[in-house]
Amino acid sequence: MSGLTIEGLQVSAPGVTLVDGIDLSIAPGKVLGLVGESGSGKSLSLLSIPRLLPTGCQISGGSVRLNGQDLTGASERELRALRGGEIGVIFQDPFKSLNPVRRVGDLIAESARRHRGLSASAARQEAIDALAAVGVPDPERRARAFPHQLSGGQRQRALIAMALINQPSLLLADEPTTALDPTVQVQILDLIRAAAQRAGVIFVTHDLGAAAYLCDEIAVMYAGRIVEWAPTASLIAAPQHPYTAALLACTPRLDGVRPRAIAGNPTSPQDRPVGCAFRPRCERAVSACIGPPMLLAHGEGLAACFRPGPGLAA
Amino acid sequence: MTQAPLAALQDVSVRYGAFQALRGVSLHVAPGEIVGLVGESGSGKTTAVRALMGLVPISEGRATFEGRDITHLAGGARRDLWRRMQMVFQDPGASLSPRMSLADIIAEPLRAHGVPKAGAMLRARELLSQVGLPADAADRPPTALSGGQRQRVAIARALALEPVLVVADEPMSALDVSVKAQIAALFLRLRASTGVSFVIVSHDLALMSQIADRIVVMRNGQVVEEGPARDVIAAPRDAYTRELRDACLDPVKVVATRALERAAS
Repeated sequence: MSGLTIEGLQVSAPGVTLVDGIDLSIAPGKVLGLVGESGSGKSLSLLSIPRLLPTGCQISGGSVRLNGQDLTGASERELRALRGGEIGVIFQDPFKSLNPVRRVGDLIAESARRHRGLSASAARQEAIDALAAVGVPDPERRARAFPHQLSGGQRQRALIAMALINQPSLLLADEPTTALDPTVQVQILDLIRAAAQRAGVIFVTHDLGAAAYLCDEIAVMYAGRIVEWAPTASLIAAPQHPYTAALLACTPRLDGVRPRAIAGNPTSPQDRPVGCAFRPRCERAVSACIGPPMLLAHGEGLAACFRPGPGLAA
Repeated sequence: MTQAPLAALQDVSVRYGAFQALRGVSLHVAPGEIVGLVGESGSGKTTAVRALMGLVPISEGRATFEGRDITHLAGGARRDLWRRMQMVFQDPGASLSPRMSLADIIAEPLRAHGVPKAGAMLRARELLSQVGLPADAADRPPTALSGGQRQRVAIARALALEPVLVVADEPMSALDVSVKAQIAALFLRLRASTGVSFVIVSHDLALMSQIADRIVVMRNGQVVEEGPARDVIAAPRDAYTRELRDACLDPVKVVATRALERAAS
């Protein structure tokens, strides 16, 4: 089966389950948003796909399958072939992902040579074409530049060019626009949207607005679990989980409605209470909420709530 | 403008060597007003508030505070001024000593201005509750605090000397969305309870439209638009303001626009 399927994925650090059994799937040509605040496990979930987890974290359960291949059992060698090949990755800070002493064009060309055995001149030309395709002006000259000589927006474009050079079937984007100015952010989101014509895209963000702009579907994470997963339009218009509704109510709006704060701080996986993790902050919580939360069909998507419905929607 | 400004810049230019950071910037804040100073990186918004605070040398134009020209104020007089105007930064972590209790941190400016210890500590506890931190936090060090709680401490400390103006430089941009909304609500509550004025620097036009009375938009060291928040959002006069507004990804608006586009095609 083509596309990505994640089942029961768990990510742990010593003594704590950071991602607590998530299920996700994404088909080629679709963009899935993974939205949450700090500690929600959104980035760890993403990084466990190409097994790029930070030291100390490991996959402790579940499966990740890409086009039928189980990645949790893949060898390091197989994974190296996949990363930058079948799986493109874009991080928040392109400066950290681009070797500062290498020219931008060489970095992109090298990926094409390593994965597809292209000749140096063919790879160089592809790199220039790739930079042009992501809207870098004067790509021949920029290909000879070092990463620090590009603006933040151009670096992010260069990183996208590098992630797309081998025509991946899966593009993973971890907060790729968080450090960018608003006007540049929209341009980068449009580029990622264009990339989704071939690939399935997972877009990790804390910003429900950016997710609404880019994604076909959104999964909202809280304290290491998915609390709601629905088509974008219905998730925004009629959020079923109280956390989604609360997140929406505090996301900046243009209609003059004041942001409505959620009491307390985001729950970290270390302090996850029994039952629904959002329970201590939830206006709708009842005694049933200490039961195990399960993602069930509500509205047009899935929600893990004992009292679902768009009750809190702004 | 119905009342005399509390603080203002008039045609202010600031140069850093050959680089002109501000070109003829005028802005003002009235007593009890919240002004949102919005712009992207390199727009000069941080330099503008630093000029307002007297923290950068002004090469042309003038800065006034409470009706007084403060453009070229000398050391001692400037320090007196900083009792009346305070600043809050994006990440207060670095300015909070891990060896001091929260009460000590907040009481420090009071002690520096000669308030006796007992009185200063009492006031520190009041301030903690005013910014929404639990009373038992007073004796704890700042190390265990979340980003939002650290920002509350920094705000409490800024308010300790009862300033009339607090300038906050990107105070919410490093915070989680839900915590951002808490701090936004705190600014509104403090303005209502103390009458303090705020100038809030932000790259987030949507957030500023929700809490500021007036918005000033900057680009390339100049003010391109200024007006009541509602007008700036609903009917921006400047093309760049419009671009900035259209780049604000309000999820409800984004989804509604998408639905309209789909219906049209």
